[in-house]
Amino acid sequence: MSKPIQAKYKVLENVRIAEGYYKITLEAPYIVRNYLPTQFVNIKVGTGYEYLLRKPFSIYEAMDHTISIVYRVIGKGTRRLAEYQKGEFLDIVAPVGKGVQVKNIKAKKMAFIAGGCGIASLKELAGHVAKKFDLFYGVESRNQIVELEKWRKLANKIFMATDDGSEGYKGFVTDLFKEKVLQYDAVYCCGPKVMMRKIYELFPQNSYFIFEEYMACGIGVCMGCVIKTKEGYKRICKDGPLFKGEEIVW
Amino acid sequence: MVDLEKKLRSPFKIGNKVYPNPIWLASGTCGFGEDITDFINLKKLGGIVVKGTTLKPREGNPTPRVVETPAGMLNSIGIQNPGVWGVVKEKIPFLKKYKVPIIVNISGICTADSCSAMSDFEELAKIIADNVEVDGIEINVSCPNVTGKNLANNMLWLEKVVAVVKKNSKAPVITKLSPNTADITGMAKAVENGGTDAISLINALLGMKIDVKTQQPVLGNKMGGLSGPAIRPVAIRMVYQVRQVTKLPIIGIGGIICKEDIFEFFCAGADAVQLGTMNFVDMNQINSFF
Repeated sequence: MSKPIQAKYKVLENVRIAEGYYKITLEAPYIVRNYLPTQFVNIKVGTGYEYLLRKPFSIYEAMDHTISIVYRVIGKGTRRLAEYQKGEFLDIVAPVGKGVQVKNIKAKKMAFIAGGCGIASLKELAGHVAKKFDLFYGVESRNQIVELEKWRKLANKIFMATDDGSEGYKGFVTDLFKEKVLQYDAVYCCGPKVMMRKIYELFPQNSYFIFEEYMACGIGVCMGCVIKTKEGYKRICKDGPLFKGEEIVW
Repeated sequence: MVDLEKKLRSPFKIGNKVYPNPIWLASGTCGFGEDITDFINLKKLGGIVVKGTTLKPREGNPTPRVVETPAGMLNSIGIQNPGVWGVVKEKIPFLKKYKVPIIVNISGICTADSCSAMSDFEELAKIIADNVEVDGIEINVSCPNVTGKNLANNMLWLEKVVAVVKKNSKAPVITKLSPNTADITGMAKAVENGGTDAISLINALLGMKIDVKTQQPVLGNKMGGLSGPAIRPVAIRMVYQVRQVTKLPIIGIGGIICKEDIFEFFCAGADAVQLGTMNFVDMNQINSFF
């Protein structure tokens, strides 16, 4: 695993892609060369100390020399991030997290399950296993759907669920998945904890979950972002963020 | 006028023990050194104070354990650590490779239900002294996240606990004071009477953040320790006050972000400093101090 570094990266683009969702693209050759899928970046938003702690974001896409991050504006830190303009620089510690060796993924028919901004954490892994998975994707309303056209190229099938019924099934994505559990040999999931727990109950054997938690350091030293596993608390930032469902004390 | 730049680069002494410079990393913000080595050159530090160590392994508090606050953060980690034997057998030997002075932060446990703090401290000091060579012991009488009874405010208890640790230690003893007191100089005098070789301050201030959507405290443990630049004026004031009542070495802690902040602690009367929350934020800046 390659070494994370703290460096400044140039913003190439920062655009709104759905209601409340933005995508920021950065020139980041070091990260592109050194990351593994499900690793993340830890961003210092702003200068000074109003936004003191770094904020963790999944790498949504990595191209030749750029990475993109999809984020939902939910607080003052992400509001400030949305203000960044092309040509500005962001101070980032990356790549962090454990990462997944894609060659070790033996499953042939996978379900990728995303709830809300969980979609932002699945795309990189999906790109490496394209056409071997179906996507189950739940949002509140259709105007929050992120880059569906891109996902159509990667997934075999897409099953959409919206809370208001404005796109696909009206209801929870977990209900959609429940009908089709037997079709898959592995599941990768990111979304609200309550949703992930439900998916685990439906598919306990070979299911993997990407967890989020408030983080302070993002490099494994502070023990802040832990999750309870059968072997005690583990650090999401260093031992995760991807964990096998069976490891977790749900 | 003190040459602050020179002081920053000069060795720092506690008793006869010499530390290469006055810049240390604070307990709980650098683990046992393993993961921070990617970012900070440990060999350049004056000392590293390792994660709070307890007699038995501790799994720590429920989550969420950290949350950002204005110019700071709250934590309620709860001293998750492998216990003193794990530290003595695995963590310290690993850290020795880096040739950095190692200070072990020790914590006795005292909850609302039971208090073994005094005997814990005694045994911790003995086990460390008998099994591993370290460059200092920092007595944590002030963790805001595990102490049920407010021992950090009890002068008689403080004096006694310091005396017990001092009696059983080979390395210099530093006592880390809590800011959650109305009488910081009283506490400083108590630990001096107990025989401490140096005083470090401040630990985190007890605080709380409430989520107005859920109308509940954000942290799993409800309360937590406030750290970061937000607490620096409190730390400076307390270092200044303690300097008026003791000639012991003082190690200032609290929201240091840049070199000027270190100088502010020097001006308040500190002989050395510990960097804490900053280790999470701007590691490149720390390397620029040396």
